[in-house]
Amino acid sequence: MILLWGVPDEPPLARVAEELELLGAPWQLLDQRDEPRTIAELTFDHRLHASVSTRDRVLDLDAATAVYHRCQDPRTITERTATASTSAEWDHVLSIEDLLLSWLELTNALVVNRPSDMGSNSSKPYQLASIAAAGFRTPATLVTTDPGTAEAFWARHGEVVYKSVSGVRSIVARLRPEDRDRLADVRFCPTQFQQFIAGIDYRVHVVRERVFATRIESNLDDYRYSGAATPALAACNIDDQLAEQCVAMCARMGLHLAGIDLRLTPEGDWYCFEVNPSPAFTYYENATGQPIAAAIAQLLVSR
Amino acid sequence: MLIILASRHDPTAPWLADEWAADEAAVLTCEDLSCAGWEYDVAAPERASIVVGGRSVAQSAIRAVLTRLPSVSPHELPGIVDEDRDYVAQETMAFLLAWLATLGSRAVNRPTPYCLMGPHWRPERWVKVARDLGLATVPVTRKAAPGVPPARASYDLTSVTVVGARAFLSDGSPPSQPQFDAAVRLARAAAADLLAVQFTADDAIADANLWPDLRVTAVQAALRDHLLRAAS
Repeated sequence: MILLWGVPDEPPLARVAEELELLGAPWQLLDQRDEPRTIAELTFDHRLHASVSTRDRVLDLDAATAVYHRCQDPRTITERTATASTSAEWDHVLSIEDLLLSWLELTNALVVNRPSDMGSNSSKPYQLASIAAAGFRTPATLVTTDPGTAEAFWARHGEVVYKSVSGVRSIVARLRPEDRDRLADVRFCPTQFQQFIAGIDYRVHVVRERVFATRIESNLDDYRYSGAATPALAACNIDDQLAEQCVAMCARMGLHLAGIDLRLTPEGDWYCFEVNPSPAFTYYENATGQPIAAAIAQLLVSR
Repeated sequence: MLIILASRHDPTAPWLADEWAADEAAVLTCEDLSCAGWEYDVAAPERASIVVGGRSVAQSAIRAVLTRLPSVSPHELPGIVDEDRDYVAQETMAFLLAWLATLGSRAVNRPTPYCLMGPHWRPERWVKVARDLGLATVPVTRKAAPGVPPARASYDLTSVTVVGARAFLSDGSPPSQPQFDAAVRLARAAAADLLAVQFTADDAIADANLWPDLRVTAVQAALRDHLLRAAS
């Protein structure tokens, strides 16, 4: 049995479910919206046992051979917000999620991806060290609380962007002369500055050994926040050596699925910025027709 | 210099700094990260500069860091305005993870993405890892049901504190050889230099945690030795 955990209409989860249906693979959904009414149990004696009971069924997690999870922040789930309104209900939801996350770490099933392997994405400079260790070029990066140091970094690199240090989603923005006065504020919070790398963005999705590359044409510093200026996405090929490097990096990070952000400079150098361990791949799949969900489904049934 | 990264509410941290005054020990709190002076170039971590108690310190002057802060809570940042406090807490946590990771074995324990103090595992994971090592363990059961408070089997437990290759009972005396061997093996498997391992009366492992009592004289002395050795 393949287990999907998340909210059923969330696009990546829904697409993987569709592809599992097409393959005729047995799968079960653990709907996060049901968690206020769910009972879960986990035992480790000589081996691991876990089960989840909802209103209409009991799921034996020992029977799971593979798991794809897209857990949402509980606070963002409307149905739950409406139903789990008391402190005790929230405590229960958090207990359920903690127990299931623990099970994901311990189960012998194929987990896409194990929570402990996803953690590096919570700190960009921490992850950048792993990316560099995998042989990728990375942009010069400074984290500082010192306005003078930030100013000197800016002067050294000419063009610089700033972005969040943590996994909190932030819009990558170029530092402009009008930002100079605001540099004094960095003393309140470690702030990340990065050498601006000119070039074309590529998103590479790795599904174990399979690689799906998308070229993104955009004039913006952060194409994800393009507003009306929709970026042009196109499926493309990358050379075998780069593809192998992407696959090897994901394997080294313990990731079966990842979305890798690369940029190709006019000089032909590839830079790597980030590895997303839970990519919202449907944005790219919808634009290019690349069979990413099908590849994930095939990976899940391969165990 | 020895750095003790701790909560501003942690009374043990200043006590340790006093005990280790001869080694230039100082307490680093999250408020130090809201001061001008931190510099960390990802490509050259050895040239990093930090701020401790308002004083700028070069990374090269740091002999070791003892971390007693699992994560950065907004409560650690009273000097930040309310609307920014959650964000600054997350950014500070992410930065501390990256910076501590550059210290290698000079950070005790080495941080993990989910806990700056090291492997903050749930009881079932400690028991599974111990079991995989062939060590005696107790069964662990967890149940989450609406309206039912979480409950675990209760045992009369003995805590053994591992500091590197040494181990101590809660009064500072040496544990039995089976407990010593099991505790040190579990700590090594978890890549934890500092760990409290919980044993039942028949030497089965029930749990472990990253919060040993450091006010025990023998533990405090062993930890100081370990930190100074890590620096060399």
